[in-house]
Amino acid sequence: MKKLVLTILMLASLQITFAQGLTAKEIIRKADDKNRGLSSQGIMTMTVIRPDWTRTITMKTWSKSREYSLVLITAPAKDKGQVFLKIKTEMWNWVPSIDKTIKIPPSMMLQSWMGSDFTNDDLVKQSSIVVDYTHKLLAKEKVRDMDCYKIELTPLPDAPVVWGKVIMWITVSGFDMWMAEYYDEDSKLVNVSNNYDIRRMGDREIPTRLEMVPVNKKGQKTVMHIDEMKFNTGIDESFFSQQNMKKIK
Amino acid sequence: MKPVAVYILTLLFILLLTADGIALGQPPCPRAKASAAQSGDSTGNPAADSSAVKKERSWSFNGYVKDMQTLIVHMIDEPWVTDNLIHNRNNFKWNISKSFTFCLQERNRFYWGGLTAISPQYADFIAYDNGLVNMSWNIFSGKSYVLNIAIDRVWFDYTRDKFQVTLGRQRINWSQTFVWNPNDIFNTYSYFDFDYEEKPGSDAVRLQYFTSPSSRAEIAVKADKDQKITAAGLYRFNKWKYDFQGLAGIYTQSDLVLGLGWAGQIAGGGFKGEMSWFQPLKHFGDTTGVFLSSIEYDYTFRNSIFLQFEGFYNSNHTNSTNVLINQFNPALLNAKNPFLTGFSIFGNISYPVTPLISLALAGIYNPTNKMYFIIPTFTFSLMNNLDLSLISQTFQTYDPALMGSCQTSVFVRLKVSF
Repeated sequence: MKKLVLTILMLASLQITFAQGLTAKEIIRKADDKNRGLSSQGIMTMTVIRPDWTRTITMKTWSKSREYSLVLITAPAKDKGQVFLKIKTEMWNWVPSIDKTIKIPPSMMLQSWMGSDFTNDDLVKQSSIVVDYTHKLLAKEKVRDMDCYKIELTPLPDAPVVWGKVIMWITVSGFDMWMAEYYDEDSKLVNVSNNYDIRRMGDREIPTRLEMVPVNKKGQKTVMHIDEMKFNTGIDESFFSQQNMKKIK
Repeated sequence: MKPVAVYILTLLFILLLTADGIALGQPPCPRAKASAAQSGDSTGNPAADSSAVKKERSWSFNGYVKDMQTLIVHMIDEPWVTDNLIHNRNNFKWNISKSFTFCLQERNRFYWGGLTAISPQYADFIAYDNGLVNMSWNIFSGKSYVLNIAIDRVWFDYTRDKFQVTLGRQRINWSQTFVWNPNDIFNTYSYFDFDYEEKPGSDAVRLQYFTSPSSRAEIAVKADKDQKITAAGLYRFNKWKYDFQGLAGIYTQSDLVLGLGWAGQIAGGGFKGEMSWFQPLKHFGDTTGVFLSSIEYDYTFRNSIFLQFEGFYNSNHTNSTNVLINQFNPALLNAKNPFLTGFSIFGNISYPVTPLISLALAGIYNPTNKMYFIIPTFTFSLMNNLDLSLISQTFQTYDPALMGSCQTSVFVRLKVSF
């Protein structure tokens, strides 16, 4: 369940956005800023889909800048009430049934998330798409009827990134991340993510359905659905506290 | 006392259910409403923030129903013992206002089978309640069955700014490590009692003051069924990416207790520890003090294999004759003597074979008592809210005097959560 934490963090990083006459890095930064806002709060549903089964998790999330986030699991029933708090680089898990606060070590933050198709790197290193990569504008392309900037992201030598490279398609009109391809260090395509359903969420329009599909695994995917989202609602830093972790509902 | 307590609780429960309907249509409170209306980056009101997205119900209800089949084998050729437990847990929580919360959690357990039949004290053991107020009742019991109803959480909470008071039966958990918890002086439990997922509570009053987002000071006072008071203060803070805590107090009016604990990381893995010293007040200058210490390290590999080790030391020499029974008997477990004397080491490896299936193998070795324990676990998520578990606990010894204690228990459990 700790891995769920990562989900939230990831959400921010996955719905990246992109701009015109801008450098590749500026496009990526715009997308990242749009996706994140100064702060955000919302409700999300994640569904892990496999040929024989599906599992669904719903959660409420709050975040501010890249430093603070809080996630409350609201379903399934057995995990309901669990809370994850991230302050800067530290993370805690609150298990209400036994009144226990568990400090989550970095290795646990890096583990694969519930067998879904999102890697933990997606989740934890949410600042990395701007900071940890060099960016190259490759072309403008049409993807599913949307004009997009096609940008190649290459990780910096010491960056804590699992990918060899990432290709992202960012919509020209809205700086929304529309598609991405994730390659391993041997330049082999591993995952493809597609974002859909641009809808108004609070003060902006963003893709509300994200699908991550592993290339070599038939019938598998993970879908993240944003049910509700508001941006810049004025959450104070003090909201992200161990006291609130135990009170949030 | 008993009927009065039951009456009050029933009344509170009815109140909870009826008042809920009234509370539903109302804003949480004028203050919360006012803050919700504010905007800008300085609000920081949790109630306002959480209600900004969707209007919340003021109460919640959840729980589970479990059925667990137990099989106990002492010697393969001797009669095997079987037992079955149907177990329902109900959790109610009512957020009365922004400041007040009420919580009631109870469990209903129906035991039937061979174990109930062969051990005459089993019904008393099931009904055991260490609280000041007895809230565990065997409603029906016969030769081969027992129905027990028990309330293990019932508390009121008041929060104002950084200050929080909780009164009633609650769990006060100061532990950091996984298996043995020297800092958990309020409600000791046994690692082997895996089926009691929530673990027992204490009849207590607890005051917490949150000094920063990751630090707090607290004082807790509890009374047990013998009306003995345990009172202690704890300060917890975060420094160098570690959580540290120190505690001091009086344990069951008989011992001074001092403790410290931490949770941090080494090389990416979790590094946690707890230590406590108990010194009898009547023998303050001598060597009758008891020292307990546990240190844990855990690491999760990229392929999701999880490794965990914990070492424990217990200097308490008042060891009991039947180790196994003590581990399941809450009446005999206590914070000063939570496990076997001497050194114990715990190791655990777990691996999610698929997101639905998880395998784990845990072991404990105690050379002082020449005992070891092997605990394999298999869990399978059948549906979103339906889980199947298969757990085995094997207790072995190479001390001829303790051979009679050896046994293997196998548990098959189906759990429906709601």
